Amino acid sequence: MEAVERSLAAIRAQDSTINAFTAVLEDRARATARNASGPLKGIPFAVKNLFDIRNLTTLAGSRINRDLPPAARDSPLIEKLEAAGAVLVGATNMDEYAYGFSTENSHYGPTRNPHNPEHVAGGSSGGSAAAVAAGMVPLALGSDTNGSIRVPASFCGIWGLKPTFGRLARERTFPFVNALDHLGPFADTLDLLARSYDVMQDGEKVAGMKGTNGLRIALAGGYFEENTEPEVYALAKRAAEKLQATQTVEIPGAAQGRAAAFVITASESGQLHLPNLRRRPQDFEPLIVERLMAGALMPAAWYLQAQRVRRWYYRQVMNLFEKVDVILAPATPRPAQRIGQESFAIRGREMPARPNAGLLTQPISCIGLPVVCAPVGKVEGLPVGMQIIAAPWREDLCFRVAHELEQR
Amino acid sequence: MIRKEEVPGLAAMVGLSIEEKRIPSVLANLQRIEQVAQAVNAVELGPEVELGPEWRP
Repeated sequence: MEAVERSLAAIRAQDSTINAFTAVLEDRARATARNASGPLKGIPFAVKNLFDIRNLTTLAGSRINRDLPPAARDSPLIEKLEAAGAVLVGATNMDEYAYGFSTENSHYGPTRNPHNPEHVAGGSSGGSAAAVAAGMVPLALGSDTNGSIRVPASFCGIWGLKPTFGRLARERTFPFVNALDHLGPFADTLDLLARSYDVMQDGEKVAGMKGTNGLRIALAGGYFEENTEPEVYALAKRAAEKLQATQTVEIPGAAQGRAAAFVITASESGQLHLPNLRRRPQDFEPLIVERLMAGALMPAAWYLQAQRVRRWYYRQVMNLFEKVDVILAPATPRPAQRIGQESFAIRGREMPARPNAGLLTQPISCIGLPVVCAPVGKVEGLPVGMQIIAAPWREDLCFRVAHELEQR
Repeated sequence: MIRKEEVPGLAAMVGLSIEEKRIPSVLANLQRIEQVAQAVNAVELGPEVELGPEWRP
C-alpha cells in the first residue's frame, strides 16, 4: 500500500511537467492494493493507453477512439500482473495509434523526457518509459512494432524488454501492425523487468538467470555502426568490451529488413484506419494522417515483396545465429532530440528525426527477435541504450547477458 | 516516382477522397515509401520464398 501511495504522490507532483499519464486510477489502485498478494505484491505499474482497462475507453493516443465504449475487461497482461500482486495506477500517453517514435501527441500534449523536459521521451510508448524514468512507477507496459519499447527505453535510460514475436498475448490491446506488434515491460531495475516478464509469460523463468560462460557474444557493425553517432556507438562498444565480446559481426540484410518493416508498417496501418480516413480525416493526429493515407494507397506488390524479403532476411539472420548466441547493437542512433525538432544528423547525414529514431530497432523487430534494452551511458547529458539480441525464444540469453552487464 | 496527378486515381480505388490541400503531403509520403520500397524490390527472390514467418509459443 505504501508503494502505491508513493507512486500516486509522485504522479501528482511530477506529471504536470512530464505529461506521462492520460488517466490516473487512484480509487482502483487503492482497492486493488488492499487485497494484493503474490510475487509482485504492492508494486505499482502503468500501461500504455492502447491496453484495455476495465471501465476506461482505450484511446490508443487518438481523439477518434474517445467515441468507443469503455473496455469491458482488462487486457490479459494486466490481469496476470494483478494476479501476481502488482497494482495498476494509470494509463500512459503515446503517439497516436503507435505511429511514431517521439510521443509528440497533438491531442494529449507531448510527453517530456525526465532527464531534460525540453527533449522527447521517445515513442511510441513514451508515457510508459517516462513514468518509470521519473520514478512515478517502477514498472510499465508498452508495445513495440518497430522500436516503440526500445527507443523510449534508450532515450529515458531505463530497462526494456521486447520479447519474441508471439510470446505475450496481444488480446484486448489496440493494434497497429498485426505482422509486427509485440508487447513488453519497462522497469527501473533488471530484476523487476525479469520478474514482471515471468508472470506474463508461460516459458522458462528468467528471473535470477546469470552467467555468460561459453556464450558467443558479438557487437553488430556494418549497418549498425554506419547509422549511429560515433559517441553512441562508442558506448555500445565499451559495453561489449566489458562483456569480453571482441567479435564484430554484420547482420546480413539489415538495411533490407528495415525497409521491409517500413513498407509493411505503412501498408497495414493505412489499411487498418481506412474506414476513419474516409469518414473523419480531420480527427487524426496531423503528424500521421497523410502518412496513413499514403500507406493505404500503396500497391499490394510492394507489401507482398516486403513480406517475402522478411522471410529471406530471417533465414540469413538464423544462419548468423549458428555462429553467435547474442548480438549487441545500439538502440538509437542518437540521444533524444528536442520536442518539435524536425531533423537530426547521423555521421553528418541530415535526415527527418521522427522516423529515423527507429533506424536501429526496425531491423530486429522485423523478424521478431527478443531484445533486452539496457542503459549504457549518457551523451550530452542524455541517456542511450543498447540492444541485447538473441534468436527467437531465447529471452534467457538476453537476460543472462544483461545481468552480466549490470554487474560490471 | 509516383506523380501528383496519379494520387486521386489511387485514392479513388480504395474509396478515399483526399482534400486538395493534403495531396502534396500524401504524395511526399508515398514517394518516401516508394523510395524505401526500392530496397525491398531490388532483392531477387526465388519462387520458393514464402511470405514472412510467424512464431507461436
